[in-house]
Amino acid sequence: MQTLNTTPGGFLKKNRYTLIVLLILACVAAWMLQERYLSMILDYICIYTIAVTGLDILFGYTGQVSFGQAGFYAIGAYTSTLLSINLGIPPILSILLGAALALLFGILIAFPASRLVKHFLSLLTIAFGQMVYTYIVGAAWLTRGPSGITGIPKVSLFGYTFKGYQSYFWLVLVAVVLVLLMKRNIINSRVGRAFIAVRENPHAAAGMGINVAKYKIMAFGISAFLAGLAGAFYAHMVGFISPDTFTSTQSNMFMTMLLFGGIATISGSLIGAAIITVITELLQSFASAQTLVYAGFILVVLFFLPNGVVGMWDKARAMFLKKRLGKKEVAS
Amino acid sequence: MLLTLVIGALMLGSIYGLVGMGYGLIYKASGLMSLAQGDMLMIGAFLGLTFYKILGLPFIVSLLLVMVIMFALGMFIERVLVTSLLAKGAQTVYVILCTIAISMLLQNGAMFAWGSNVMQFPSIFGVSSVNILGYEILPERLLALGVGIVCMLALHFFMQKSKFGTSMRAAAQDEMAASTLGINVPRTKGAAWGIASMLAGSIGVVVGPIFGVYTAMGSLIGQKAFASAVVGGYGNMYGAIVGGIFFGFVETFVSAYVTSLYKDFISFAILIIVMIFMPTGLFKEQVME
Amino acid sequence: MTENIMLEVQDLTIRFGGLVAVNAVNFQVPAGSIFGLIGPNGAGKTTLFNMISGVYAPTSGKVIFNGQEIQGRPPYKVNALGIARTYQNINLFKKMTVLENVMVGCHTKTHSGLFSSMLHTPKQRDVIKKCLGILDFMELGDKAELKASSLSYGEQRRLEISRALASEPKMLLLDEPAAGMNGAEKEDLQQTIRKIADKGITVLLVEHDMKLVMNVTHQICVISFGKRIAFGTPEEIQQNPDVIEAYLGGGLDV
Repeated sequence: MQTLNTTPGGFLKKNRYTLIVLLILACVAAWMLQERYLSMILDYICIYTIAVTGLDILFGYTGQVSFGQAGFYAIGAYTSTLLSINLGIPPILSILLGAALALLFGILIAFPASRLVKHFLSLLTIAFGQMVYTYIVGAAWLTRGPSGITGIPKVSLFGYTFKGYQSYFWLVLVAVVLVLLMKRNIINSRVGRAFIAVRENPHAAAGMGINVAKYKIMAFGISAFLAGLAGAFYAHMVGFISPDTFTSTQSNMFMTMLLFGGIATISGSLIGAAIITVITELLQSFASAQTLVYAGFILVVLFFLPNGVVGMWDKARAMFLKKRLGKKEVAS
Repeated sequence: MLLTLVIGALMLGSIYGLVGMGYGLIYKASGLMSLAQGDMLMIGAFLGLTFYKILGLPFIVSLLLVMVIMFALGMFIERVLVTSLLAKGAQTVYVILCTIAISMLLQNGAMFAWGSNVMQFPSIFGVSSVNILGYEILPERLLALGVGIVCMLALHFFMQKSKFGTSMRAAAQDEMAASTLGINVPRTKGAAWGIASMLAGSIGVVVGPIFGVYTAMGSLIGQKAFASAVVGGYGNMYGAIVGGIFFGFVETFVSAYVTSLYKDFISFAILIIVMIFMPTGLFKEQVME
Repeated sequence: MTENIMLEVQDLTIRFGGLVAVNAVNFQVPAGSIFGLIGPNGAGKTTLFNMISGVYAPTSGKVIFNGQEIQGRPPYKVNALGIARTYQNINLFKKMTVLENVMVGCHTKTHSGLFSSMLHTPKQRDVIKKCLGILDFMELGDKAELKASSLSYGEQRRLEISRALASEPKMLLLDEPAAGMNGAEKEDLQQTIRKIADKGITVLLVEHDMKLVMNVTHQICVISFGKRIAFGTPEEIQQNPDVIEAYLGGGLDV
């Protein structure tokens, strides 16, 4: 696995380098693009990256599929919204509470899920996503049903309010960087190795002392927490939520972003989220063909890019290095 | 009132059950899962509408044409897309994702072809209601129920009595043994996908007059159908019918006597509870590691 | 006496449906010894292994490890108690490197949880050092950075042993470690098994290669059709008429 640093600091340094480059790029982008609209796209990229990172830990590293991430995304968004509107809890706290409730649901659903084989796991997660969605639509007394909730308060921190898309970017950027650092730390640790071992060979993993069910549940919990966190950030960014955002299309979009960027890599979730968000925005004028575009993306990834953009990049680099090596040999 | 509800529940149940049978058939024959079944139903409905209303063909001809086209479409998806995906060594999860993409393509494609409005399927019988024991019932509902029963029986006899059906069952049980007996296993798999899509498509034609025809009509039915398949015991074709009728009754009676707001939520909640406490469904099939 | 027994199997029985796969088998493995478990194909050796390592819960009978009853415990707990195993069909983490495979073996010997992992990159130097040491011991040191799937068959078998050793077991279960190995590799394997036993690790060996078993083990238990038919030193086993009977047709090449 290229993401595991075997000699201490080896891959780590490389990843840190990539992260720093991306960070600088993001900062420059946000600073230069003083436009509201462009900052909004950056905000979306950050929020989606958080959710997709969670899905990557679950699917990419632990091998457990979920087609119901929109359910956790919705739980985070609605919980944070309702807590901040109805109980006056400061959004910065309600966001965390929303993510925590998503975590709780993630663990609840993970108990049966950790025993199911892949197909049925897909079904269970789809059913979960649908259950959350139909609840939001039906429970109008709580969620105001299909018409949605407006006037969601903005996030304030130490007396500063993140009002516009520009200022909000800094908040979600910090969140994304923290999430990616955490992901890297987890993957390079004993816990991360256990995740990968469960994916590669659950029987052998159990034979080596790994409590397979526990790690599957842990991965589910992390993915639900991050999806919930992303959902809550989303709600306080746009100020309005309605069930339309939380359909299975959203779940499929997260999966598409992950596969497009490349599973089981540190930067894949960010790259996938960025590319798909930008392309979706560019095609805004063909909004009627949006699902067609998603479908096209999924098929391209499945048939031509099985390891995503990051996989393609690695392959290209390996070929390039090989060529250079070959030339050197010839020269000597 | 009660009889109307029961007929409504049976009709809804047989729709779910038949589409669910398609899931079971695909799973039995190829060990895979397709999530495009609901959209096959939608495409069937649109095609039926086109043949019957726009081209003015007789209803039965329209239905047969739809069946042929849908069979070919299902077979195409398996033989061309799924097979080449598996040949690349893709995990089965990617096949599910592929069928999700197909479902998106079909929905968006239908929108381009037929527009995004609900289209009215003209009445087939020319009468607005028939009288049964003093209850007024829409004849199309009876037709849906009838077609449902006919399809079930036809599929049953096809699988049990015909040579091809027998080879399909053999291939599903032991692929290796079947192919050494000279059964063309890839063809039986393709046929299973074809039959599943044909079932969904013909159901689409008969429910068109009841629900109206629109691009999203298949998604909820498709999901209820897989709920039926799971509750019945995934891969067990007859279980899907039982599961479908169960959900038909739950939905109809919850809407009638409790609240229609939560009918979908309750169905999915039941599905999740079943998956947690009885993951093999009513008629046991292997789902655990 | 009991403190010298590492593993005791008492009347161990398992039924699958109507079939009795292992029927009231008894044996004792002295601590520090190399113990062979042999029998014709389908005799129930791997099933016995699976009951000892927790993959199957026995229908009846006991598995006593180090004075503790362990039958029916899940595999991950059995491993944590000090029993590590290899598999008849190699079960490696194919996409991980050789070193990472061994590092997974250290799972129960390291304790960083989710939160400590999240907050800092844990100091893995000691773990890596230990694992590289094991790889050197198993003569795989120069392959540490390769993908497990790129190793040769014999190397993969050695990697499985390395991974098992990383969990610092008191007892090692080897399920046909010589399968698919050539003559020279088998010679090496014999040495390796002795070296492992010299470290104080008790070895329980299932193997078809009679020469290897007779050369390396101290005691042997023979099972056939799920029942124990003989027990003794390699010399005694070779003389035993029941054993020769059971292997007729299979051929007992010594």
